Amino acid sequence: MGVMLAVLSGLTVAGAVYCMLARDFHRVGVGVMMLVSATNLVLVAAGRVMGRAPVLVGDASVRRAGEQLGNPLPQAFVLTAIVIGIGVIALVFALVRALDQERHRLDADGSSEEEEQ
Amino acid sequence: MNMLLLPVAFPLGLAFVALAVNAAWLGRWLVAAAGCLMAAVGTLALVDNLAGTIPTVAVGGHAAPFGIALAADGLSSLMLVVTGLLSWACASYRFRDSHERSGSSHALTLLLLASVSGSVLTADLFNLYVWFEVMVLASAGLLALTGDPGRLDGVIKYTLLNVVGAAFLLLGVALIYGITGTLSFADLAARPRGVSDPQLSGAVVVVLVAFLLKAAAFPLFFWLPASYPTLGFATAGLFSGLMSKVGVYTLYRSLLTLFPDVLVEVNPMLVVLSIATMLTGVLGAAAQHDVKRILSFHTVSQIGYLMMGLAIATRDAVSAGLFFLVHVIVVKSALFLVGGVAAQFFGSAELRDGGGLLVRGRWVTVCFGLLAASLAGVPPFSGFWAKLGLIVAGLDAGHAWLVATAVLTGLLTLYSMTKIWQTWFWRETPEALALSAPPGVGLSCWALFGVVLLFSAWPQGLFSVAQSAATQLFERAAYVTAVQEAQ
Amino acid sequence: MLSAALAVVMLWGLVLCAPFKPVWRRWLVTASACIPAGLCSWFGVQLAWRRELYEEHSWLSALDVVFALQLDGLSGIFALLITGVGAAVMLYSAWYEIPKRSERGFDALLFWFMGAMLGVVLADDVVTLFVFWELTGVISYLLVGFRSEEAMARRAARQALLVTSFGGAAMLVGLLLLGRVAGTFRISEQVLTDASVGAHPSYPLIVMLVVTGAFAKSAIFPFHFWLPGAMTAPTPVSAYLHSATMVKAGVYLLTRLTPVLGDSTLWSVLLAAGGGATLLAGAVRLVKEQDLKRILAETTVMGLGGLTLLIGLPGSHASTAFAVFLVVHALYKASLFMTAGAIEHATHTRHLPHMGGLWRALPKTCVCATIGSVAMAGMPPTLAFIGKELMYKATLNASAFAGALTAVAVIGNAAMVCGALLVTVRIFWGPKKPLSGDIHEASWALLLAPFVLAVASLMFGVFHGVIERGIVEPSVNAVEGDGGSKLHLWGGFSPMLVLSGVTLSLGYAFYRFRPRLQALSAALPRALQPRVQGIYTGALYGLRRSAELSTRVVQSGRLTIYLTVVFSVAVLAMAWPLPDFVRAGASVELRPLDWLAAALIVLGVVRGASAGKRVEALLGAAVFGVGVGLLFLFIGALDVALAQFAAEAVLLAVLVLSTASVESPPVKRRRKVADATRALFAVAAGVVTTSAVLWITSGRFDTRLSDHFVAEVSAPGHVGSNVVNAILVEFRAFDTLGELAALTAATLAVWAAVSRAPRGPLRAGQARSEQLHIFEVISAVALPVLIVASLWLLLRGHHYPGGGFVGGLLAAGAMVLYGLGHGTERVAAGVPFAPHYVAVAGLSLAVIAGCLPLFVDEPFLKSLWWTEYLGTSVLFELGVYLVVVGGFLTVASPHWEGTRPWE
Repeated sequence: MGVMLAVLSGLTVAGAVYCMLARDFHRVGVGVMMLVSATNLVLVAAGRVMGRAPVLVGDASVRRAGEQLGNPLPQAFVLTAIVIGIGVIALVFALVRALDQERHRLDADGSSEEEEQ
Repeated sequence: MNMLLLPVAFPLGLAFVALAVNAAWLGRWLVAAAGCLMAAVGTLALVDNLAGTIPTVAVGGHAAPFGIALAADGLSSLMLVVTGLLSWACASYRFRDSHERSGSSHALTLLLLASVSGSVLTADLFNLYVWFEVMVLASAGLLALTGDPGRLDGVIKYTLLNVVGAAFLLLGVALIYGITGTLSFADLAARPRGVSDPQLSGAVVVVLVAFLLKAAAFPLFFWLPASYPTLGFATAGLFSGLMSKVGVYTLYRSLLTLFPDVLVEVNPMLVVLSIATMLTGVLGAAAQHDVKRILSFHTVSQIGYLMMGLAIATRDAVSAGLFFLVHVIVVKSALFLVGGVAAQFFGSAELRDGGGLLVRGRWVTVCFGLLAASLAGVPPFSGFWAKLGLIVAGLDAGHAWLVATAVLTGLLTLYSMTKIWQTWFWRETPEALALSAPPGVGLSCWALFGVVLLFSAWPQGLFSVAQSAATQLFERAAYVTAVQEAQ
Repeated sequence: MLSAALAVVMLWGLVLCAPFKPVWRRWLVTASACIPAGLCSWFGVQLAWRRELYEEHSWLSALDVVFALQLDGLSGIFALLITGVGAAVMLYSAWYEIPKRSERGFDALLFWFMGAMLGVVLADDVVTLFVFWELTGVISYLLVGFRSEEAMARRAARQALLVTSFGGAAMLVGLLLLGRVAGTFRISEQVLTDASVGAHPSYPLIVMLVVTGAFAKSAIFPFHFWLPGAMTAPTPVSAYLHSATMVKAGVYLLTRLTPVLGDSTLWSVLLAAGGGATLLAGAVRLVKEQDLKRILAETTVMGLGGLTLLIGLPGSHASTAFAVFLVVHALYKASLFMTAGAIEHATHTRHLPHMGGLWRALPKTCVCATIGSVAMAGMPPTLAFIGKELMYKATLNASAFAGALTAVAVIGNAAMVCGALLVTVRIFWGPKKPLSGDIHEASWALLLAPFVLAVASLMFGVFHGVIERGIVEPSVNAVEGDGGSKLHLWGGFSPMLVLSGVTLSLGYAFYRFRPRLQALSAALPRALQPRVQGIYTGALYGLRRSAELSTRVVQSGRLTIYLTVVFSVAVLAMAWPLPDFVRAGASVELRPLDWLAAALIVLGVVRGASAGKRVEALLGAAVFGVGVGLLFLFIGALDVALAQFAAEAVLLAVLVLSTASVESPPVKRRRKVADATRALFAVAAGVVTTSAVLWITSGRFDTRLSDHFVAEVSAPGHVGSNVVNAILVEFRAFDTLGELAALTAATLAVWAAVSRAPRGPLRAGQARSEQLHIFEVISAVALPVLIVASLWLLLRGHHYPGGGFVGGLLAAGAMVLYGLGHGTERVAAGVPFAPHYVAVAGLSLAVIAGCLPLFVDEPFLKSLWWTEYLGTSVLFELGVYLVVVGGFLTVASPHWEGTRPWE
C-alpha cells in the first residue's frame, strides 16, 4: 500500500508538472488540480493513514475484526487541504476565464509584462 | 480572549461588516483599526518579551503539541508591530482608485491582515501553511480586484506561482510530519541539536523552497515584479511590506528556531542566494523606467540583505537583519505611498511623465528625498544603520563576498534613486501640469516618515530590541518551554 | 562645546529654510555670516592657546558607534578654513543672484554643508566621520544639480555623487576593517596602537580602500574627472565646496590617518603616484580648457594633487608645506572663484575667448583677480610662494625618485602660473573683445569677500609668523609630533629659488604657446589621451545595458519559464539528500479494489495531461479525482473521501460549463523539443516525489498525537465519536478557522475575477434547450430534499461522517443545479444578495461561535455542548456550511442565465 501511494503521488506530481508547463493557461489550471491532489496523496502516505476502518469510536464504530484504524490527524490535515485546494482551483479557473474574456488569449508566454519592457 | 487571538479574530469577524456595509470610510476605518490592534498587541507582547516572558496562548485550551499554540517572541512581536503600523498607514492613505474603495477590497484586506497575524504568531507548521494559503488567496483577490485592467496575466502568474509555493510548503509539511510525527514548533525546536538527520534535512529543504519563494528570493522572485506594478500605490505598499516579509519571517523562524542544524547545512547556498538576490533585484530596478516597477525590484534586492543576516548567522548579524527588516518594511512602504502622491499628481507612474516636484511639491520632496536616501543607505538614515550592522557582522564573520555585494548593491540603489530624483524632482514640470495644485502628503506618510526619522536619529532603540529578539532566537529553550506551557 | 557648535550651524540652516522675502533674505544671509565668523575666531583662539577638546556622546552602542568629536591641531586648521572661508562665502552668496534660491533652500544647504564639513574634520569616531562625509557628498549633489532644469547640471551632479559615493563605500569598508584590526573605531586610540596595524595581513586592503575613498572625494587621479563637471554649481558653491573645503576632505582623511597607516612604502607610493598623476593630468587638461570656472577647477585638481603628493612624502618639510599650501590654496582659490562669479555676473559669459581687456570696465574686479592670481602663481611675497619653496624642499629631500617628483611639482606649479595668467592677463589686460550687453561692475558687497580673502593670502605671506605659530605648528605637531620647519620669504640663494624661477618661466611659456600645445594635444592619437571620464560613462552605459539584458532574461514575462525554474529548484532541493529505495514500508496489504482506484488515477492523470481539448482534460481530471476519492475511501478516510467526491462533483460541473464558454484558441508549444523537456521535468519531479515518500515512510512513525486524539474522543464525557471531525472543530479548530478564511478569500477573489468580466447573457446559459426540461423538473424536486439532507449531514457530523463542509457542498450543488435549470431570477427570489456575502457571513458566524465560550469563561474556540447535537461546534459548522454554499454559488454565478439582480 505504501509503495502504491508513493508511486501514485509521484505520478500525480509528474502529471501536474507536465500540465503546468503547458502554454495554455487552462491546461495549467488542470495542472493545479493535480498538484493539489498530489500533495494530499503525499500527506496520506507520509501520515500513514493506511488503515481500513473509519476513525469512529464508541457507538459509532464500524470497525470489523482485523481492520486497522486509519491515523486520524493526517485525515484532518487532508480535509483542510482539500477545502483550501478547492478554493485555489476555483480561483485559478475564474481568473483564466476572466483573462479569456479580457484578452481572448490564454497564452502563458505572451504577457503584458513583456510588452512593457 | 487572550490578546494574541485578537489580531486574527478581529479582522475575520468584522470582514462581514466591511463587506455588507460597503462604505468606504467604514472599511478603511476597520482596516486601520485592525492595523492598530496588531501594532498594539505587538507592542504589549514586546514589552513582555523585554521583561523576559513570551506571551502564548493555546487555542481552544488544547495544549501543544496536540492543539495549536500561538506564541509572540521578539521576532513575532516586532513583525506584528511593524505590519500593523504599515496596515494602518496604508488604510489611512487616501485611496484614489475607485476599486480600492469597495467593500470586498476591505474585506479582503482584513483577511490578509488576519493571515499575516496568524502566520507570524502561530507555533504550528500546518497552521502556518493554512495562513499562507489565506495570504495567497486574499492577496490574489486584491490583485484581481484592484489591478490595472489589461494586466490580468500578472495576477494569474502571481496566483499560480504562489499556489505552487504553498503546495511545496504542504509537501514539506507532510514529509516533516511523516518523519517526526508532530508539527508543533515546541516539539520541532526541542529536538536534540547536532544530530544529523538527512531525512529531516531533505524535508526541511522542501519547506525552505516554499519560504524562499514567498520571500521573493533569487531565483524564485518572478511573481513579485510581475504583479506588484499592476496594483495601486497604496496596495503595492501594503503588499511590499507584508508578503515577502512574512516569507523572510518564516525563513528566520524555521532556520533559527526550528531547524538550526539545517541552517548550518544550507549556509553556503544561502550565501549564494543572498548575493544573487541582491544583485538581480537591484539590476532589475536599474533597468526600469516606471517608479512602481523600480520600487518593486528594490523590494527583491532588499530581500537579499535580509537573507544576508541569516546567511552570516551570528547573533549580531541576525539582530542587524531584524533591524533591517523593520527599517525596510517602513521605508519601502512609505516610498510607495509618497510615490503614489507624486504619481497622482502626474497621472502616471512613468518617469518620463513627471518633473518639477522640487519646486511644486515641497513636502513630497522632503519626504521622498529622505526616504529614498534611507533606502539607499545614505547616512545618517535608518538604512545606513541597518546596512552598517550587516556589514560589520559580515566583516566579523569573514564573509567578504557578502559584504562586497552589499556595498555594491547600496551604490546601485543610490543610482536608481537618483534616477527618480533627477526626473520627477529636478526636471521641469510638464507643461500640462504647470498650473495644477501641488500635491500634499497625507498623515499616514508623515507617520511612517516620522518612524523612519526616529530610527535614524536613535538607532540604538530599535537595535536593542532587535538584539534581544535575536538572543531569543538563539536561545530556543525559552521558546520551547513557553509554547509547551501555553494555556 | 563642539557638538553645540555643530548644532548651532545645523539649526540655523533650518531657520534659513523659512520663506523670507528676497530683500529680507539678503540681509539675513549677510548676518548669518557672523556665525561662521564667530566660530572661526573661537577655533582660532583654541588653536592659539593649544587647547585640545574632546567630547563623546553614546549613539549606537550596539555597534560600538559613539558620537565622538575631537579638536586638535589638524582638525583646528581645517575647522578654521571651513568657518573662515564659510563666512566669506556666506557674505558673498548673500549678494550673488541665484534663481529659485529660496524655493530650493540654497542658503540652508550651504549652512548644512558647513555643519557636515565641520563634522568630518572634528569626528574622532570613524563611523561618525563617515556619516558626515557622506552628508557632504549628498549636499554637494544637491548643489551641483542646483540648476536642475539643465540636463548638464543633472548629469554632473549624479556623476559627482556616484564617484564620491563609490569611494565612500570603499572607504567605509576600509575604516571598519581598520577598526577591527586596531580594536577601536576611534582614530585617537588607533594612533596609539599603530604598531599592529602595519603588520596585519589586511593592511594593504585597508590602505587601498581608504585611499580609494579619499582619492574619489578629493578628485585625485583616476577620479579627477568629476570636479570640472561639478562647476555647473552656482559660483558660491564652487568657491566653497569644490575648492576650499569638501574636496579637501579626502586630503584631510589621508593626513589624519597617516600616523595610523602611513608607515609603509605602499602608502607613500600610492599617494605620491596619485598626487603626481593628478598634477600632470590637471596640467594637460588645463591647456585645453576654455571655460573660466573649469580652468579654476583644473587648478584646484592640481592643487589637490600637490597636497596629496606632500602627504605621501615623509618628513616635516612636507608636513609644513602641506599646512601652508592648504591654507593658501583655500584662500586664493575661493577668492578667485568668487571673482570669476563677479566676472560672469558682469559679462554674462564664462567662455574665455569672448573676454578680454576688461580692466577698464571692471577695475575693482580686476584688483581682486590680480591679487588672487599673484597668489596662485606663487609669486613673492605671498604665502603661496613660501608654500611652493617648501614643497620643492620636500620633493628634493624625498628618499626616492626625488628628481621625478620635483619635475612633476614644477610642471604642476607652472601650469598653475599659466592658469593665473589666463585668469588675469588674458581677461583684463589682453585685447578687448566685443561683448554683447551692458557690462557693469558688481556691487562692492559682492566683491568684499573675494577681496578680503585675496588680501589675506597676501598679508599672511608678509606676516607669516602668525600662520607659523597659530596654524602650522599645531597641525604639524598633530601629525608628525614636532613643530615643523620655519617659514621664510627669503631663504637665500638655494635650489628652491632656482626652481621657483623655472616655474614662473615655464608657466609663462605654457601661457604664451597655449594654442600650439592645444594643437599638439589634439594631434595625439586617441589612445594616448586621458579618457577616464569615458570609463565612467562607459561603466554607466554598461550598467544600464547589462541591467536591461539580465532583467529581460530573468523577468521574461513567460510563465512557462518561471514555472520551469521554480520546479527545477524544487526538484534539486528534493533530490539533494539521496533517497533510499530499499526499506520501503508497506503496512497494509493491497486489495483488488485498491488497484481499481489506482487505475482510475493513472487513467485520469494521463488523460488530463494528454487530452487535446480543454474539456477532455477536465474530464480526465474528474476521473482522476474519483480515483483519489476511492482511494481515500478504501483506506478508511471516510470523511476525506466524502469531501473529495462532493467537492469534485460540484466543482467539475461548474468548471466544465466555464470551460465551454472559453473562446480563446488553444495554445500549443511551438517546438517538439519543448514538449520533450517538460516531459523530462515531469518525470524528474515524479521520481523525486516517489523516492522522497518511500524514503520518509521507511522509518518508524510516531503516532502519539493521533493516539491522544483517539483516547480523548473515546473518553467518557466527551461528546461526539468522529475523531477526524473532533480534530477539525475542537483540537485544531484554529486550522479550520484559517481554512474558512482561505475559502472566503477565494470566494471574494473569484467574485473579483468574475466582476471584471464583461456583462451580458452568457453562452452556457443560452445553450439550454428543449431537452433540458427534464433537468428543470429534477432540479426543482431535488432542491428541498438535498437541502434537508445537507442540514442532516451538518448536524450528525460530530458523530458520524459528514459535517458542515460536506453538507454545504450538497446544498450548494442543489442550488447550482436549480440555478442552471431555472435561471437566476428564481434563485434570487430566495437569496436577495450576491452569494459572496453568504460566504463572508459564514466566516463571521464561525468567529462568533468561537467567541461564545468566552461568556462562560472558557477559551476562544473551545467546543461546548448543551445537548448531544447542539453546541458551539454546531454553530461553527454552520459557518463552514455557509462559507461553502456562498463560495460555490459565487463560482457558479457567471453561468447562470440572465442578469444578476443584486447588481
